Amino acid sequence: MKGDYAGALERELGFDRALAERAREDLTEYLDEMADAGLDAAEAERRFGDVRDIARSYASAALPKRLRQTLSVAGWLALATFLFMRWRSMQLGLESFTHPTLLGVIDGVGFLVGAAALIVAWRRGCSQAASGMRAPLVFAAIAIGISTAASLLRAFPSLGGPDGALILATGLIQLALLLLLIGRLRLIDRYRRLA
Amino acid sequence: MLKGHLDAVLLATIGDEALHGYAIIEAIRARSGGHFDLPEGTIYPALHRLELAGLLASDWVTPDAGRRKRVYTLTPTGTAALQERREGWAEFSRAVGAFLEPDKPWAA
Repeated sequence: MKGDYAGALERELGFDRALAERAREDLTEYLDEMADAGLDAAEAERRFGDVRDIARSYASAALPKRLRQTLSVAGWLALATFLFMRWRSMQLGLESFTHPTLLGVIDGVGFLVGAAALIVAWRRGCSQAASGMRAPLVFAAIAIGISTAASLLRAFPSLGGPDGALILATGLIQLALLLLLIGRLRLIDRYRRLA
Repeated sequence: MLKGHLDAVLLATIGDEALHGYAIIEAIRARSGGHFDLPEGTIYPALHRLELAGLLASDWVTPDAGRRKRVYTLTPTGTAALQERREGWAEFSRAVGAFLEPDKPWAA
């Protein structure tokens, strides 16, 4: 019975191993206390509460921190991408500024819009409920996705040329940022569905 | 009844004392005269939330005879948050008291 309840709790929180482990430790400590007090396991589990309600409480507890971790990693990656893009522009010379291509503009503007959305998400995270951060994060992922697509489309025709590797590298860093955002948004949605 | 006040109750229960999860549950029940008899499992995630927010710290402690337990203490941020909540509560209860206990008007 003890195993059933603990197993059900861990399954509910299976999307976050650390959180599932924490819940299991807390439950074990509680059940041991109850056993010492002479209470049988079934009654102790009833007093602990409904598995889904408890899992929901853990998910709600962890969500703000997970969102902030996501923003922190995304922020550093966005900064690294931006610095790499600036370095790339310096390497490519003024040509890209004086004769910008449509894809180049979409790449640059899309990235800046995405970075601005990340800043909005950060500010919302500081000033209001964590759930308010999701919309700007989705917007950031879309903008960076468009920027990444433009960056990679720019890279393919010039792959054989001297600038191809630089443009491709930037696109790949943007792609890493995009995949990170998508992965974390999917994880956050698992929390939200439970919480 | 505790909705919205659980964090303050938890911070005040721990206060200057290091307590483990079940000791906190028992202390809440005793200090409230049995009025706050929550599903006991709800206390643990709330403690975890306060820990993630930096208001509590936890550490494993193993007594000489017994199993190891996770023990919670207030962090300096938690102590400041508790003080702030105490002041807010004192002001709020004075204000409501001015309506519900007309013989004790609120002296702002």
